Amino acid sequence: MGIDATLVDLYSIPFDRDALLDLANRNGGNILTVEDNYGAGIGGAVAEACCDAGDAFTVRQMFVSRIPKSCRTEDEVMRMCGLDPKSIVSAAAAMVGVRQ
Amino acid sequence: MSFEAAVHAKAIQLDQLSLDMTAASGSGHPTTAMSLGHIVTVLLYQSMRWIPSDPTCPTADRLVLSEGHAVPIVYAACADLGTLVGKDPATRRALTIDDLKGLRNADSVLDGHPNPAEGFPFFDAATGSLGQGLSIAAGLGLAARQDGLDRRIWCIVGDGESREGQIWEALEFLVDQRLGNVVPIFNCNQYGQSDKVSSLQSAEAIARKLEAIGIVAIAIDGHDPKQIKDAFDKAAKAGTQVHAVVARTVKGWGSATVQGGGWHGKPATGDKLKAAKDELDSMRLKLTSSLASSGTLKPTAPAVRTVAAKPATDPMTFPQAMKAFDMASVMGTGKFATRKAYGLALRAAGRANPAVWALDADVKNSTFAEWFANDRELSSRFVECKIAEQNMASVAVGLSAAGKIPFASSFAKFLTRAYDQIEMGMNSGANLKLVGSHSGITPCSDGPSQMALPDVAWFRSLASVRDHRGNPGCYILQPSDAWSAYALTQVMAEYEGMCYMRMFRPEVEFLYGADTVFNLGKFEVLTEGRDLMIVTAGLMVHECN
Repeated sequence: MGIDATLVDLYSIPFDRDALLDLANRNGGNILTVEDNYGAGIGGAVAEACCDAGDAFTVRQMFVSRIPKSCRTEDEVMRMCGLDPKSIVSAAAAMVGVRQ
Repeated sequence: MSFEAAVHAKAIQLDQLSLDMTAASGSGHPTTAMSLGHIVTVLLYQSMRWIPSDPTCPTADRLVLSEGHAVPIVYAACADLGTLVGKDPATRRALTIDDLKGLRNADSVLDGHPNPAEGFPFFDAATGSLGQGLSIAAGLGLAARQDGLDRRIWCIVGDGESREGQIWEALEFLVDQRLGNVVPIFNCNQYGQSDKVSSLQSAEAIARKLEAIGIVAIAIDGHDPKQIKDAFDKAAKAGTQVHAVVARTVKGWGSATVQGGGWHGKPATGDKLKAAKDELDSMRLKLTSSLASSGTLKPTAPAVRTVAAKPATDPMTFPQAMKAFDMASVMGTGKFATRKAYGLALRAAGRANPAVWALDADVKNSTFAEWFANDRELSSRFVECKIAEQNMASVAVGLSAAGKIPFASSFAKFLTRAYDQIEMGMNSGANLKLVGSHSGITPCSDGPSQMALPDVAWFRSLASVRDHRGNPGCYILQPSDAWSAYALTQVMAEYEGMCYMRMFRPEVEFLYGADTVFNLGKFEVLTEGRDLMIVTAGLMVHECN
């Protein structure tokens, strides 16, 4: 697909902001956050860190943005909430200007 | 002087100090305090076994003031008895009567409501957000029983406050757990803030409800010294049968000027203050027949004053635990749910450290806390809290105050109904470990009633403040695989402060191995590219990978 992405497992909040933003800078300042909960979580924390740093970052947040309902499978609920691998790849491609 | 006269004289002295300190601060709840003058006198100067110069003595009786706004009466007694105060144990000093004037000042240890973290170690936890104290008392009672300590936990609950559901969660918990060492004292002064309490919170109705769940209710006049003393003596001989004292009291006792509606949370000033204190002086003359001092009342120290420390050892590693607990074959599959890794890690932590406790709210077979519960070496440190998460969170605060390391687990969704209790735990400086399973949207077939969705945002708000140790108010931990879940559980057990660990349902492949070290505040880089940084956690690491 031509997306050369860094994948960060941000298992702790709060986190080492400087280290994370250094890594973002080595990725053109492009940050995509992905979480399986409502907003103001990881994406909010990362955006806040970027804002406080004052450098130029582009942050796109993916989170659960609709009230979910029951589904038969995990894949189905991920698709319903726009968090399935295909949606994540599309969002990543759009950020770096890669045509899919 | 007779016992009765001595108690009246002391109660009146404390009532007057409560009026003075709230007048000086310009705010506070003198009339609630005055409804407790006699009860607090008998408790602190007679029935409670404690040492004012050693307010954190690990064997002493404790008082949990669930209706925290009544705190001036306790501050008055503690000042009169020279109780040590201060944040730093090395530089604590005796509280003085003069200090009471500083009530609610920014630089005073006398916070508006009880809080040990602000320098008043007589209390074990922050209270004042109503309904939570009895659960905290239950946690202290559980720890005392497990440690073999003859320690009694007294807990004062307001009548209006007993409308809170958590009070009944706690009472039923006391009965389930046969915690006769916890003594609830209901202060039935009949008035709430804006109105009288409902007839369902009358002394009679509360006593009937207590009896209905198997608690012996001792009904008394809360301003009669002998009745109070006799009730406390009876409760003290309770064994495992829970006894509660239901005291009929008068809000603003002794002073007609400040009685009745409209006096909640209102200090008396000027002429009203003088009138109230004069009325109390008249009561003293009437009830004691003299102005003789009440120096005969003194607290009794506990018989034993120290507890032997139980040392901890290093916990097993993940592979060692898998082997020790007969799951070595699972290691080979390379797949394990984070919640199972938690259960395994909790069991290993419990084996390594006698201070580690586990609590669960009837989902222990989903959170895998049952692996701790079913271990014979650990089962006495497992607490089944039933479907009552608010009580569970505050019980954990009480356990923490007794020096334990409580891990409280449930579905992440249901932990979030204890938001307020958790926040009060943070204010208390509690060493809480909260563990939510089935987070996010993966409980797909159940729908959003079982999914934790705003949890990260809320705990992140707590993570944004500094606690009294200077650490984040909370760490949110989201392990993505079994290795990280195991390691982060051990990190939580070692760290002193609040953590929330979020786990999910599915079985997932290992992403890490023995070489990776997980620490609070850190992250892992799984792949390194140049165009875009994807930041995620937990299950979503697998979706993004």
